[in-house]
Amino acid sequence: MAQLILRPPPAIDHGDHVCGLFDSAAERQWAMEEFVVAGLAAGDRVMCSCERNEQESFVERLDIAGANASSAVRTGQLVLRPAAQIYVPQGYFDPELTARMLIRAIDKAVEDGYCGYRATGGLVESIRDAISVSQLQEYEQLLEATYSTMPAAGLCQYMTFPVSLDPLYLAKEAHSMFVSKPAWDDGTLSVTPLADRIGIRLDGEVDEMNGSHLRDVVEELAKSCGSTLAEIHLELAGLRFVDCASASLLANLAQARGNLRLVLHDPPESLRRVVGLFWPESYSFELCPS
Amino acid sequence: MPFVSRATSEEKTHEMVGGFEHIAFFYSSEAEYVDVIGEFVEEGLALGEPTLIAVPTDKIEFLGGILSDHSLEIGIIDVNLLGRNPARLNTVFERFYEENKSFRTRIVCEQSWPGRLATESLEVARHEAISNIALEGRMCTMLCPYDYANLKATVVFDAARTHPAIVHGGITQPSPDFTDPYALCNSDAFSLDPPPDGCRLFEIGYSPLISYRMKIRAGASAAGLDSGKTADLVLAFNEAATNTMVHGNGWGEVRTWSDSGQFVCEVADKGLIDNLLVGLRLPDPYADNGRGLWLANQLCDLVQIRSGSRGTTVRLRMSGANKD
Repeated sequence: MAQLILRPPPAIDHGDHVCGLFDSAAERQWAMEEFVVAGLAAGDRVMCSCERNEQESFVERLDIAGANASSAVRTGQLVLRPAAQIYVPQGYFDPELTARMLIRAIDKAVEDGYCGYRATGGLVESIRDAISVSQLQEYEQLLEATYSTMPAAGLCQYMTFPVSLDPLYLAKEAHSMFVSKPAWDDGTLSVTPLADRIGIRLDGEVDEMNGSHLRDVVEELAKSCGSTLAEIHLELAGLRFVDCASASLLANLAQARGNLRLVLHDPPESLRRVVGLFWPESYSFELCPS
Repeated sequence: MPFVSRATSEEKTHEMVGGFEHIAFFYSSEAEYVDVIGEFVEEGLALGEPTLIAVPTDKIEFLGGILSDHSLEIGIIDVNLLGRNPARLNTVFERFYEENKSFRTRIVCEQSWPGRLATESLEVARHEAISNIALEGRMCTMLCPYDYANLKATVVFDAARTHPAIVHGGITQPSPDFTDPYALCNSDAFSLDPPPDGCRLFEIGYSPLISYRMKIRAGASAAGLDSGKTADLVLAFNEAATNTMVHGNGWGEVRTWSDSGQFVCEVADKGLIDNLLVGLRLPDPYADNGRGLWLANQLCDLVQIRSGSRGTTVRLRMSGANKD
């Protein structure tokens, strides 16, 4: 697998073929909306797989977000289609045909005066059985070739549950980028994914109220690296406080995984002290500057 | 030779295979100080006993001859730097034992000096008492020098109460005032002065800890602590307050004030800590809990822990505050 690159949905741009690996429908919806809003704002035509009974509410949410999606649907800038219409228009899945249709749609968007084309879709339950693992692999490879050479970007949606492991693995292998997790803010701590490295920026304070959530976020990032060595960057210049128990949760996570290294950039003095006292020689933490 | 005078070297070696020997050394002159400690160290090295010397900065200079003769054989700790909080020395000693657990060891440990703050001297005395519990069974002889001529009588009396044996005037003898350390620590011997009138007071337990940390941060900063010490104090406070939330019925009182150039932060609750060694032993860094008060001891210049039927008080002190 190529070097893992994380992209927040708004930062996805032409040439990007991004894997969205989602733990929940809400997370998937967040990424779709961010992706569509950014595409419309960039002047691209945006195609989004969306079942008919969900289209009205989807457009409404985009309108509330300020994307003026109702108008975009009317002008043809935003195209919503059920997944079956995109992937199995003739009752079966043909990777080559589907990829050719994508290339045609990109060319048409440019002809129509748009800056480019963005597409996001996923395999809904009703069509999942119609697509084999080898077809999925072939299709993703065609998409990689298409997006990397055309004024277009794609966000492929996969749910971690329920899915069998093999297709998920193949899907991950076919992408050079992953969509990052949504930012999170509980009023005490805000967690923002980094756009250029695997990692997060933390602002605020970490204690017994949110320490386990932070551990979960870091664990999720580590999982996305698979069995390879995971180096996760934590930008901490905006962090005022970390309690000992939360630092310990991260240390225990790193020790349990065995292949996780947390690079702490500009940590608060208190965290430096805690790491120095409890894990002075540990491979799990790297302090920057040292 | 006050140590070997109790037995021949051969008998002494056999005798020392036993447990912890804790001896106060009341000295009256620099010459006596250097002579006795020199003999103690030389004797130990002759017996192959690893030796650690923990004394104030000026005493390291006194002992310059001994230390330079054996610079590769003796560990040296500057108590003014590391041992301002006497609880930290316990961790240093434990590591020393672990590194040398195949041997009987020797330690020289001087923690009291004329002019030391009364609160610090009180805590030194309490830790001297607790050492008898913490180090029980350890193959170690600890010699604790006391400046008999210049220390306050209360400090000397506390030394007599907390050491089973005393070297004084060239004679080693049992201390007639030695008191069972559990009984001493559970008596009023080391009770804390009440917080001063007019100290700041707030309750904890009803809001998230971040709101209390903000108060401590603001108070410490206003009292003159620099950002590093403020950060350390806030972290130590958080650990003490977390203990209150978890073990102290979820409710407690926090008081802060300044005293003799120290910012003081006291967390009091109705919980009970029935272990005198709490906060002294190096915790497992990967354990789920049990680190808080040890961490507080590493961060603060002094931590005073008192617990009994009326509840628990943890008083954190950090130097660097504006003097009144």
